[in-house]
Amino acid sequence: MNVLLIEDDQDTAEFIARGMHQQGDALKHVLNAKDGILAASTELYDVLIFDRMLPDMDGIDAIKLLRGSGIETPIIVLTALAETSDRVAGLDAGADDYLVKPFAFSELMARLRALARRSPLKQANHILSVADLSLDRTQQKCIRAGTELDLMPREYKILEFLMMNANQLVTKTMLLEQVWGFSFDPQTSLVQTHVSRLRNKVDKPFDHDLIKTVRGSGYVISE
Amino acid sequence: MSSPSKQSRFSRPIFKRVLLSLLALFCCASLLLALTTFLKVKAHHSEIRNELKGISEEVVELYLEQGLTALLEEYELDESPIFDNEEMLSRFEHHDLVFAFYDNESNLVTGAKELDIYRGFQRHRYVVDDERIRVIGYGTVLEDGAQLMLQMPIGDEAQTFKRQLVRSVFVLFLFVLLALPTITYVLSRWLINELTNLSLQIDGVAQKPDTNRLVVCSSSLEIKSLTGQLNQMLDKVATLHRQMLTMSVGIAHDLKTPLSRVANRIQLMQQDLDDKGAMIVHLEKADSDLQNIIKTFSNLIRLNEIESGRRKAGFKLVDVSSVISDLAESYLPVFEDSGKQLQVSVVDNVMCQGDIDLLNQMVSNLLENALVYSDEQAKVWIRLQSSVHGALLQIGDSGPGIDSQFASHIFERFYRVDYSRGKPGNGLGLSIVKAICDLHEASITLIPNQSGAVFDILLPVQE
Repeated sequence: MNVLLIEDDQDTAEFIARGMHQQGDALKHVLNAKDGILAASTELYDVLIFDRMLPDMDGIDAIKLLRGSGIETPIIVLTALAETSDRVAGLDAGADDYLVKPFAFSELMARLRALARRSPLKQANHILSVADLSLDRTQQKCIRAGTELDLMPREYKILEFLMMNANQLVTKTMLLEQVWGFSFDPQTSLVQTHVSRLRNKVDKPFDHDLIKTVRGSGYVISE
Repeated sequence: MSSPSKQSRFSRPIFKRVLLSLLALFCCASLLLALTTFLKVKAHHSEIRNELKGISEEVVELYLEQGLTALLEEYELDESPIFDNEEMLSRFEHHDLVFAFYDNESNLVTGAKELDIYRGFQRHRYVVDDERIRVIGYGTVLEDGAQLMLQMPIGDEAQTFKRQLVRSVFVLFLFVLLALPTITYVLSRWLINELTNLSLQIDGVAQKPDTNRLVVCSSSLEIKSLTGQLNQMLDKVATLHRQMLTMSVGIAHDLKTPLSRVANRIQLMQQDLDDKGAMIVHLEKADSDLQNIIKTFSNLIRLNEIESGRRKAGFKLVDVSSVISDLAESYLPVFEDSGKQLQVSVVDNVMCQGDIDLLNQMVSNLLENALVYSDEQAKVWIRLQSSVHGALLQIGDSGPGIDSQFASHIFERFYRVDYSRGKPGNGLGLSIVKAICDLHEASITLIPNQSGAVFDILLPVQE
């Protein structure tokens, strides 16, 4: 994955750069919006990471400029503000995702990978499959090893999102946002309970578990 | 500050203001008197003018209908039709009318010799034995070119009015001169006493603003009302102060405990540097504690965002019934897994203007409260029904409930009935619920005397 990071805070940049380097991803770091816009317009990246508050320009304005000039590279915004109105402003300006500082590195990576792999073709896939599990999105049917599974609506949505991001980490926050539409974090084990019920149907009756827990981070569906 | 120095602080400005006010009152009264006199004089002049005009019309009518001879006979002037200046002034002195009648060649036919000829009204002044006589004259031209001049003394009325004015102003001035110091003193004294008393009481309140209040000991309605308002303000400030205090304690506790634990972990890490397994445990625990602090701050920021009212701009028509049904359905397995029962009863098609994310959080927080704080195997219910005033949402549990002594504080920030703070949470959940209700103009009440915690939310709906 080739990522451009536009961030004026050296500590945050170092934190991200180190993690990405360890995972074998390429990262270019610039300190201000001007250099960021230049780099994003002239070089090819899989994802752009934009800080919300940059010394020379508001990150939101920079994103508007980029989108206005036809750059469609997925963008994730980092911010110290946790207000939802701020998040909405970012998404309205053309950002694809939003992450509030401080964040877990695994959360950032999961979101980056989801964005990097997001392609119009994949979004439109009618049938998603992982190993012997397949999901027919037009008929909302789920079949594993020839057996049709009876899923509740939430379980279906969770499985669909996991399979859309197969082999990648999907965090609890991502599930809350995508499946429930929550921008807040419930105190109880809402996500865990539903994933556990989903597992009882998708994995328990079969030999091989597809949904794996990444402790403290989230879930991955993989072979 | 002692009472005498307080009094002296008020004395000068109050005395000055009262004195100035009374002087202004005196000036206004004098002006009013002058205005009344002026209007009276004006009305008197107008009366004379009307009289002159009336007489003139009568004379002209007689002359035109019956001729000059009849006119002279009528006014008994046929023997001495023309009279001199002396006669004219003598007539004026007796407040009589003076006239002059000229034929169409401007020859004086009858009347005073020395009257000026003009048309319309004019005012004149004559001097007889150093005494001034003011008259109003009226001249008119007849159809055949003859002219009639009339003059009538204004009389003493106007002078009388003016003399009355001077006298009244003088009496008023005398009154002011004699009574002003007394009135000023009495009024100032009263005002100074009221303010000094209030000021002393405020000093008393400042000593203990949370408990001391102003006591009304004035007969003045204004002071009573002001005291009431000040006490209301003090109550509100005291409530805010108490909330801030609870909040500070809350923040201190919610930050200090996990931070202390992190500090302890770091010490343990220094001891276990060579033990990778132990280090991983320490790191995970420290991370979990820090995440809790971050969560507390996120909730505080969210609470501030809701309370600021900014999200109202994004309100849309929300199907409350389906939001609640969906959410309840999501929570059913969570309740089931914890051995509790969730009963759901929702009427269809309840719509309101709102923020779907916030409404989700409102219901979610209340359901989670019920989940965390209710007894084992408790029954929890969520009901949405229509009522006369809107939609009534009830979320309750079968026990143990909230002690009535804590009921009035449960919506305050960081307030926790569980003093030991042993259960999960940060005391912001219900504050957020209350803020969301306020934003949606909904009312939330904890129903008293129930076996469990039962909340009623009355939500305004859109038909």
